[in-house]
Amino acid sequence: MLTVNFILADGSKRAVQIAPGRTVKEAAEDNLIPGVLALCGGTCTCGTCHVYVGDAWVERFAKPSIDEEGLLEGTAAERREGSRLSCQLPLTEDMDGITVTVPDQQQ
Amino acid sequence: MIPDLKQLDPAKFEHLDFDMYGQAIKSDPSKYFLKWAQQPPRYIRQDGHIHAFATRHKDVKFGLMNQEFISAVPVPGTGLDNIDYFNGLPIIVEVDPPQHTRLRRLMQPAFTPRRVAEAQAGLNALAHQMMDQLEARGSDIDVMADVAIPFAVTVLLGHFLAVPQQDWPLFLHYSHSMSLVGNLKAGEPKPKEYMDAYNAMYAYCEKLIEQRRVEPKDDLIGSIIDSDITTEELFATLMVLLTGGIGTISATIGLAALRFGRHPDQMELLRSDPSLINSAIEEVLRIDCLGNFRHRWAKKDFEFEGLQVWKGMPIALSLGAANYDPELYPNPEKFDIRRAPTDVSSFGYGIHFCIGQAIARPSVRTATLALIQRFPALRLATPDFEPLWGGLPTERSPVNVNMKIK
Repeated sequence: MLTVNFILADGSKRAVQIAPGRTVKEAAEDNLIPGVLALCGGTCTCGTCHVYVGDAWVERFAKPSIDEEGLLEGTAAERREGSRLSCQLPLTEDMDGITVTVPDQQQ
Repeated sequence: MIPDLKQLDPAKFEHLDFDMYGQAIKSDPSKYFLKWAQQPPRYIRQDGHIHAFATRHKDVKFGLMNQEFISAVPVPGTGLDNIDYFNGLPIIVEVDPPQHTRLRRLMQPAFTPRRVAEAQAGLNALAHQMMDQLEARGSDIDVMADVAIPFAVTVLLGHFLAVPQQDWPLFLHYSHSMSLVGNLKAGEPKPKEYMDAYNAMYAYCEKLIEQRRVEPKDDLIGSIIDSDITTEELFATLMVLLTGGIGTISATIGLAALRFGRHPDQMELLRSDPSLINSAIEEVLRIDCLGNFRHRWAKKDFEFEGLQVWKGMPIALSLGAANYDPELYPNPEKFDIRRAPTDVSSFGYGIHFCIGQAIARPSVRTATLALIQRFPALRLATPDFEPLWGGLPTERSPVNVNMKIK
């Protein structure tokens, strides 16, 4: 198991446990983290599971696909350096302690 | 090879003693959905064809998200060929990747959450302008004709597609003519009125592509045309956006008005606390799902939660029933605008997740809230008012929602 540290839109923090191989979106969904909607179910289709990955962690994920890039261009909250769709972020064991910030708006 | 009825396990067959596209289920789906939402996949027969039938939330979601066993491409001869609204054009909802991926990428820029958020002020202004016009009239209104349809048409054609107003009739005529092909028998020719509307719209798309290649414009249609799109693809894309949008947005506004009309306490609650609007409309989408069913087809033999499914078999997925699954929504028949339901199935899931939901949700919220806030006396025309039911065979769309506003 590894720990994902979510920083919510109101500034509060939640640390959750998840098995490697699952995604940041699933970590949010399984633990009822508010603000990650993933309306499409997690298939890089809707752009409503947008998160900001902490600077130290963002390089550890594969680069966004063309479709993720397209959706990141139009997220409701502004796109920043660590912007990613959380359904596209599978977690590995070396990501224990990762920090993920949830934006204040998804739609 | 799909076996015939006699070879199937009778314990896994549900005999539907009503037409799944008929008035009974459109008028009162909850009595079916409450039961179905707790039943595992089974077989049904519709129009002589055996279907796999999935109705629990997890099974419907699997059916819509799985791409290994399940395809969106209709298999000919499975009883659904006669539902051909687009005259055989390659429409996005009935293709798999990679064709689907290409079409979806063309449409995506129009439907980003950011673009919709920017349009919100325009939607508010439009809704209040329409309420001003209603206020100047008598008390009796038909929410469909007086609010829902004109609102949806203006939002889609005016605000998002930016089609010049003089060209709207062409789009609307085609949209209306689609109802003429919904109930044709297999092989029956399409009516002349439909074909005339189709040909006019096709010619318009051809001209539009030519024009925009000479004089490009930076708008939504421009972004769709800015590629090697064919006339067929442009036609299909515009018409799916438009017909998919007008009918669905207007029907959901009508369903919301009807639902609130039947639950005045919830209407009053929303009026006193408008911050509940997002939760309220999610609850309307859950309890009054427009799409009773969506269809898919098995790509190969597989076992679906204990049910053997054969390659080529149609799979009917009840989105409406999934929204009544008590595991996710306790007391599912209760309309409670504070429920804030999540994972509502109404817009589907997966790669075919409704691209227009980004517009539909704020449109329905805006029109519904304006209607309820502006008219404190809003109520059904008669306490037991029941609309006529229409829409596509798989949908439940009210034809009229008669209310009083004064």
